Amino acid sequence: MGMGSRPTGAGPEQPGPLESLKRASRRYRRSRSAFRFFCRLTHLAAPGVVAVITLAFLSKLLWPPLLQALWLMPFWVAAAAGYLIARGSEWRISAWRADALADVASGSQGTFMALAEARGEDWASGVRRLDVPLRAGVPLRQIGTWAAALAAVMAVMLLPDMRPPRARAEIAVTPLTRMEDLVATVKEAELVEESYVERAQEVLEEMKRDEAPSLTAADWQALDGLREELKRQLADGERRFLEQQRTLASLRNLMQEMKGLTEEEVQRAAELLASDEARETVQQLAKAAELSAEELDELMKKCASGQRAFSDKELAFLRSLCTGGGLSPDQLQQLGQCLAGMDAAELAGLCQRMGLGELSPEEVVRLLKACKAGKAGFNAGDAESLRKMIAAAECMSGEKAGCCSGLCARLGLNPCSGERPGRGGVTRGPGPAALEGSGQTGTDFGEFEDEKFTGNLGEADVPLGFALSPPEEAPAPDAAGGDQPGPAVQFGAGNERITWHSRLLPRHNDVMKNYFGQPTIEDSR
Amino acid sequence: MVQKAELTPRAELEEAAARCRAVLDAVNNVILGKENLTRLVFATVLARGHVLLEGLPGLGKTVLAKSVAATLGLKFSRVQFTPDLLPADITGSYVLESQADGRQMRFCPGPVFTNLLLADEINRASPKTQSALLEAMSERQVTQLGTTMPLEEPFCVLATQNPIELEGTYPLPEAQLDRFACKIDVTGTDRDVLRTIITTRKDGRPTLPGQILERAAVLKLQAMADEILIPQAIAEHISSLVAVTSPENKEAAEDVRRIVKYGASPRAAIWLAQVCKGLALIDCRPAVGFEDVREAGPAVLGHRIILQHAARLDGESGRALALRLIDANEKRIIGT
Repeated sequence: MGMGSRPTGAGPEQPGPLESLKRASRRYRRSRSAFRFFCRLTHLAAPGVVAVITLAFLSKLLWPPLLQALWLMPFWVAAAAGYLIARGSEWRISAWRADALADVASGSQGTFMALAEARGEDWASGVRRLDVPLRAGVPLRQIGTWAAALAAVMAVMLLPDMRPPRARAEIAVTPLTRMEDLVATVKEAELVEESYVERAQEVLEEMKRDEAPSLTAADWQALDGLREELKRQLADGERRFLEQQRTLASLRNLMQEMKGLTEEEVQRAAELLASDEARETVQQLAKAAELSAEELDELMKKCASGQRAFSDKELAFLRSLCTGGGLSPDQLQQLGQCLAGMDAAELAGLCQRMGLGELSPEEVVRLLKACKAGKAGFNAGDAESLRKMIAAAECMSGEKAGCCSGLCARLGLNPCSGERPGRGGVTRGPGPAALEGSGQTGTDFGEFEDEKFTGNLGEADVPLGFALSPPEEAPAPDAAGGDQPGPAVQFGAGNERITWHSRLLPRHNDVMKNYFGQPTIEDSR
Repeated sequence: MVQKAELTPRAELEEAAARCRAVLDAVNNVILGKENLTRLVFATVLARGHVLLEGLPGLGKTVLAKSVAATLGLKFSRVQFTPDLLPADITGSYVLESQADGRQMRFCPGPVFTNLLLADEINRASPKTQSALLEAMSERQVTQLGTTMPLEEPFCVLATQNPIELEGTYPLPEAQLDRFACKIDVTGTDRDVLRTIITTRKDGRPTLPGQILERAAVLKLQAMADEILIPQAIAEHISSLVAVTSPENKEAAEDVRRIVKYGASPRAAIWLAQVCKGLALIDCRPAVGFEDVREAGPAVLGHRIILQHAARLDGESGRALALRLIDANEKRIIGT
């Protein structure tokens, strides 16, 4: 007998009617309980499921974040199931009910129920076998309900959002926040007019107060305008600070490089040297300049006699004594204008940070006032302080210009100097152009000051890239239309023909050769 | 673990059922074509209940009572209720007798002192006389002049009443009706039965059956009927069935609230269970089944459900309502 084969004799023993009925009753009890549980669950969970689906549908139409409510559905169903499990009597079929049904269905007329509850083996034969199995039924309506609910959920999920989701709103808010930070930085650095910054902050606050989840077109336009205006002002500031830095650098160099003294300065020095009031200052300056008493007396005699031949040591002493570092009143006024907008305390702090020594804010204020007034006659300490202040101011201007440049970079990709709203060709910046009626070029030519050309054109060290004088062997006059060289011939600064720039195709070279009677670049090679 | 009850041994129950079948066969030989009626009457007797038979004259109500009494070998009394019948005519009374030692009061028992009392046309007696039966039916005792005298077991009242000729009658009050375990409507016989009757009975009178059982056997059958098991489902069925007949019950059906004035009393549940046990015993079953409730329910509940007047005018009856309630409750119990 092979494995798995059944014995060919009597088949498996059939259970008796009583046992068969008991099994059927148990099976029916389980399936009917499940049926009733499912029905009750559907009845209990249906309102919540419908509410959640409705909520999800409305969220699709009105407020997408509310779509998260769909997650409530499994929890609601689980809660309903938990409630039903806790209240098992509501859906669980008791054993005696199942036995009663089995008894009725089998026609046992109470005998099966009696045997289920009492002992009496001799009554087992009175139990009849079921003709048809007990069926708990299929909850088709409930299954249909759940299928409809799932279909509704899927339909809701597939619906397009009628309003932008929260993520889009957040993206829209980001430029607003970024602009707020930028304006705050600009205000803190005092790089832009304060009134404009305050107005910009008011506009931004108004946008922020708006309850709309995303920026409107007007908001975007306002932001764009604000950005352009800030960029313009920052660019102007950068130019201004760079110019200031250059001026300060030139003044600093001037102070260092100036060698001689004017007649008035010498006279002024003689008066100071002879004055008793300035004796102490003179002594200190002489000590600082390492001048001995004899040398100081000799210098006094020189000044009194009007001599102008001073040694370097003497010249430095006199410059520090009477000329305020060697700057003329005009130059001092220019310096004062440069430093007009600078903070005294900040300049003093910067001097300390740069290792230029102690310079109090009061001292800086006094120096600034003196510079504005164009007063000469600084003492030696003043000249030294002035040099320190110029160096610190130069550094501050550089910092401010760098700050402007950095903020410009935050506002756009291109640096401020190369991008101006509505101006220029390929570097044209965004934003509205001023309606000046003068083409694309504005009237702001401050950065291109006219310079008087004083050198020789022929000796210009600037690579001009084109000939400024006619070549020795000029091309045919009729070909160039005059004395000017033709477009195909260019010459270097030394009037030599530096190269032939042919922009012709090879097959056209013969035509040019025949016309001009000159070898082409290919022939010259 | 709860110990399961023991069912009545099959052999004993079969023997008892055989006796019951013998009695019923004998009665059915006299009362032709009314097997269900005789079954129910006998089941009520086994349940120690009283039966009210209602039907037109000449349907065999009295013959049925006589036949049952004859087959069971019980003492039988018959009282023809008339308007001038007095309670003492039923219960008996003390009479003054002259004895050797003087005159003494002696109790002369009335017809109620019997095993099977046939109260014929009970609704023709005055309520006072009808009430004389109340104590006897429920307490199975009679009190006269302060002396209580128990009635002999078994005691069963088979009363009849005529639904027509209501003039000069006194309908039984609800309290009196409730004493009857069953009120059975005796209906007419069909043509075949009538043909059999007129062809087999020479003088037209039925021959009363002979004695099948004796009193002790009846008592034993009643005791065995008490041992019949009422399964949990049937207990639930009977209790909820009686409960939903009351319009005040929250589970009552809408038509019950509409047409029922008073529902069945707890006594109805007791009698229904008892009568069902009797039916199960007759059918040789160890437990009551749904069929027993369906068979006995209308007879037990029908006269206990007091309908609204409007409902009566609409043709509703307690019996029909009980049938509807039984069907509905059975479906609810077994979950179909």
